[in-house]
Amino acid sequence: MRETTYFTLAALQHGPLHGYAIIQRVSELSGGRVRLATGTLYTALERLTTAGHIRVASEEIVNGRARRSYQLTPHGQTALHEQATVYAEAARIVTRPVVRPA
Amino acid sequence: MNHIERRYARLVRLYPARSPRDEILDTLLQSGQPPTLRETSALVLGALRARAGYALDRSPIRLAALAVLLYATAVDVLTSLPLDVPAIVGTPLGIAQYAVAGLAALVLHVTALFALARGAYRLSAVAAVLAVGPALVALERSGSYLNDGFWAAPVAALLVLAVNLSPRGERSNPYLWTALLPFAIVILPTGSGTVLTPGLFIEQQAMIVLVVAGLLWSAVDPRVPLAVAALALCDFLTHLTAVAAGAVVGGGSVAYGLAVTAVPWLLLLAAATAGHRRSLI
Repeated sequence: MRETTYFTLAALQHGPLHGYAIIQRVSELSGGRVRLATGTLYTALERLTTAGHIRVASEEIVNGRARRSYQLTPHGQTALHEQATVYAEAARIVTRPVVRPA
Repeated sequence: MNHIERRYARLVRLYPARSPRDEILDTLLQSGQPPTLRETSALVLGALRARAGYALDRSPIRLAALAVLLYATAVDVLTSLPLDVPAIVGTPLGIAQYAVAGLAALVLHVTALFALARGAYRLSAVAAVLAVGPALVALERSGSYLNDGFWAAPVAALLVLAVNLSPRGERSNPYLWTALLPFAIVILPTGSGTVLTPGLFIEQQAMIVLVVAGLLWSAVDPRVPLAVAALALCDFLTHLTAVAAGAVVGGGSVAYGLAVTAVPWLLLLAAATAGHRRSLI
């Protein structure tokens, strides 16, 4: 799983968000390191929807334009947790105290 | 509609109608910022990708199979051109001419092309495999087995079989592919230079253009560089066959020739792989 995908899914783990809110949440979660361009976000949202990781939760009309919110599917939740475990394991190799035999 | 909204609206219109244009525009306007170079390039690339329609549920090699089938069909047209119909009608052994084999391969390749475009994958595989024999016989008997296009039929059959391993139910317009046939005869390395005087020059230049276009398009749709790589691979295999048959002599020139024909398809394959990895989630 790519890093931008991981943060996009992570942004949705506490509830549905619309496009701009996802961009902001991803930036917060990554400490400003991952800044999603809107064009990149919607390519990712389309692919994640096709893969069954997310789905449209609701749609409202704001200023005459459609604004849809996206939410994680159970499949997406599982994929996110699996990736989090992979990252945690990878981090543990470096951060755990090394006990060398005497 | 203010100035910023107009600029964003122009960019969002690049997306196909099935895309959530309204929603994308809404998201862009919420930032309140004018389009930056980064945002503009992401929108243009996103729109091109949306129009290309490549996704994980699409076959990465179907386009390559169609392109090489078209190539093989174009080669068949040239090998079946010298068909002597009066000889077939008037003499008992008149049917024993390489153009008849070329015509049989042509019919089978057109069938395979139509079937693959329409999503009839099994029929396409049967026709493509059956076409290999007559296509190679026609080329060998016509004395042009070391010419470009010799490997088109076998490579096309392998690609169609590979598509059959994971059929995705995709369809495209078979008549569009058939309409491309005259261009394929002149543009692709079919050996049409022996029939059409400027053919060889056009083929050489067109292949360079195709390779460059394939490399550039890899950021949008990895199926295109893969299709061009498959065409370039046919060239390489023909050159390799010529070397193996001793038709190309000279130590340094042999290695140089092989390298020159290998570099395009290897580069395209690498570009297609990178493009496919970018499309992963």
